[in-house]
Amino acid sequence: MNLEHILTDEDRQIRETIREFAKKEIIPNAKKLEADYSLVEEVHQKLVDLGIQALGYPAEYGGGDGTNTALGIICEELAKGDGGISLSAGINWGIILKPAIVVKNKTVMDRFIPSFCSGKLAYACLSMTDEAGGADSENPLLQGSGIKTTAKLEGNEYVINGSKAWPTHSGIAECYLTICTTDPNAGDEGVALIYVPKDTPGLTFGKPEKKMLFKTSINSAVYYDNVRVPKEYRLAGPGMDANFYHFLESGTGWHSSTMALGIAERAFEIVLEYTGTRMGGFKPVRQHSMVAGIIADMAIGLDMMRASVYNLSCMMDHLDIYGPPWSPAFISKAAATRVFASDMAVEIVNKGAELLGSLAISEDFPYEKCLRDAKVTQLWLGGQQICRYRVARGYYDLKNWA
Amino acid sequence: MLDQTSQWYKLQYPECFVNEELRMMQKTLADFVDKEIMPVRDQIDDDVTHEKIVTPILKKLQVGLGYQKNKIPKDFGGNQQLSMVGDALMQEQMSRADYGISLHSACTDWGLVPAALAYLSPSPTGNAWGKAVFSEFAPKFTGKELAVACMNFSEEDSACDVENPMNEGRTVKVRAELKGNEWVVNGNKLWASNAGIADLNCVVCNMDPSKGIDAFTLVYVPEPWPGVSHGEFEVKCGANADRNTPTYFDNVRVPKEWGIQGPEAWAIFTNTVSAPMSLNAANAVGLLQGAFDVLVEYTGQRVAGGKPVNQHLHAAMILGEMAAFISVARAAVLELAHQYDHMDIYGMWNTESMMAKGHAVHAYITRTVPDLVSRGLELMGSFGLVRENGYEKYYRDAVVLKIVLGGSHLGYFEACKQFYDLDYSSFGPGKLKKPA
Repeated sequence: MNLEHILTDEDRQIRETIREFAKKEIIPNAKKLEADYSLVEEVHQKLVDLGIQALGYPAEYGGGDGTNTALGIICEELAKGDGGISLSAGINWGIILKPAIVVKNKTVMDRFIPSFCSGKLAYACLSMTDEAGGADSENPLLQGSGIKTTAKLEGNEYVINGSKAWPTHSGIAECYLTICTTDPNAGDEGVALIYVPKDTPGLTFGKPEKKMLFKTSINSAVYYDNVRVPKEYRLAGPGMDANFYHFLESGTGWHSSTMALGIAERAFEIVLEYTGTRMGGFKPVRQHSMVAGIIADMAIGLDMMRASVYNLSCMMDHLDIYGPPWSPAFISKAAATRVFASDMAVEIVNKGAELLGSLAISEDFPYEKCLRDAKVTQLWLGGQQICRYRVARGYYDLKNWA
Repeated sequence: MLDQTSQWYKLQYPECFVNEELRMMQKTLADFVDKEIMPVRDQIDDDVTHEKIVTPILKKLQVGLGYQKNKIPKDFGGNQQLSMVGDALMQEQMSRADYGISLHSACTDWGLVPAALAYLSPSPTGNAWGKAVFSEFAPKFTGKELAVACMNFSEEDSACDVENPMNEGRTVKVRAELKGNEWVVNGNKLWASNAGIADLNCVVCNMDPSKGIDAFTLVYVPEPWPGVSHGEFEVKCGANADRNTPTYFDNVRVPKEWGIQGPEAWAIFTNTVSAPMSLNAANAVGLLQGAFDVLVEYTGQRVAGGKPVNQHLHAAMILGEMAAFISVARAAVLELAHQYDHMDIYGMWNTESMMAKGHAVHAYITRTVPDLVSRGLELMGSFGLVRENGYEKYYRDAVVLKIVLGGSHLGYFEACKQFYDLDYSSFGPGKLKKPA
């Protein structure tokens, strides 16, 4: 009964399709998927076969012109099965190439989009966080001075040098949207967003990180050693590149919220089922009022998350009304959703664990995966505290959080 | 001032929920609040008799702006303002300045809602009841004097058991008897907002509790009226523009046309008690917004450690947390109110799923806001405790808003009920015996 005022019939169909897909293809195989990435790729290829990957791209390239609301549904439903698969599907769906689509950078679109609409699995990568400086590169108040990876224009090419930590899909992606600076002293004017094709000389990668969560997505360092790309691969130029960088902070935060929602929903489903069959005090444990209170807390949190996540997705689909998305007001709004959804997901999963006892942490039971996966939504993209500063910046001139 | 042209406004009050007409209504009230209530908000709690500040404000609001006739049907000269989104926007604006005044206004609406729902329903019985009530009492509310209504249902022994739908009216102790052409009402009510100052009460009764819904009764009782009396006004820590006192009914006789009985009365009641969920949640959002506005101004001027307090990251984090919750909670409130406004899609307000949704949003927001107001107080230190600095009032009022409407625990049970057959009635093994 939620969200009927926002969803179209197509959205509802997508929800049913992906919900069934997660139940059939992901949830029963969750443990195997975390142990064998080749199985993950098979799942992704099936999603490609369903048309999900191409959905986010323009129809003229064979895509589906999908909305952010549709993407939210896809990521939420996939995250019920596996957060990492949801993350990858969202990135490959078009988040990385969306800026090029919006500014109509035809060179970039022609070069990269066909790979994602070909019917074969293709990965995209947002290469953002610098190894040195961490979240400084994501601090808009530093106006680009926190970005350590440099881009220098030489003739008709940009030459990129530096290194990035943690990008998802590093080493396996078709293209790397790299956040650079042409001049750290030039403020936002120096911010450059440059698409780098795979196999470009000088582009190398570190070893995949061994993580306790989101094991079905790959992260590693990316190294740029005199990497040369045509100057047309820069997104839009001084000023607008910085705007889109700030926009990406909003968009990726929202994407994170959709996953937080899906993971928390899965936890709720498990708890609801278990407490209905588990007996304690001569009745199902969920008939005890204290247990009911915790179950209600979980359900209430999910309602609040859904309202916030899809309210924002609707706004992202109507930037003509609610934009520009790089303004402090929009970033504040998006950050509010991100910080709330992440904290709420972790709270929901932790509360639910109390009702499962030690079973919550058993690897033979599906819940421990929720406990692990929810946590990352608080940690990535600069973390929760920087996110709160973004919210505050929408209300007064917070000068710096460096 | 509420700048409706700003991007912030568009992001907080999206077009899919707030149309042009509602925006105009919201703007009118926001300007009223800034002009008439904000300058005196720190004096409201000291106006013990309500004569100096509270009543003059209420006259301007309820009579001048016409809010006291919002739930009167157009056929009787009222505004027939039925948009729940509209009500939520108004409640939020009022609570930004004073929660007690918003409660007063909302509870006049609430007392009239049962008759309005009945009159506007397709049921001949309900229609006749609504018509009888409004024919008699609408002129009072559409006139030029302040008129007050009261939804009078909480009781000494059972409190929120009355509104617990699983009890089906079996715990209601106020009795209604039909004698000839009159209802005779006996019993006591407690805590109702606007009790003691109301011109009209909607009194929740039962003719025979053992029969539950079949004997459930709603009776309108005007005041002053023979047999109706009150105790002293309750002395509360907050929301003091809202009056509460016990109401005693001693062989109170009213014409039978002013009452309705049976399953239809129960349906009207359960819809009526579901209705305020989005509104009190909106009150909580408004209250938090008011507190936040005070903090942003204070921390921007107060210097500590060589810079304004709001430039310290710890302060920014608390402000960010408050702002984030305001944004998220406002979206949830507007979505809920929108759902109330679209019964064709989401069902009647008293359906299991709508009750669950309403209680979920209400319980969470009203429980969280007091915590955030308390955290915000940390940024002001002892200055936050001083009446003139404008913050302590929000702290006190926030305590009140989380315990009204049955409190959050009933809400938790309602939220669960949509997922499984949770029994939280007052009757059953180890509980009360059903009324004989």
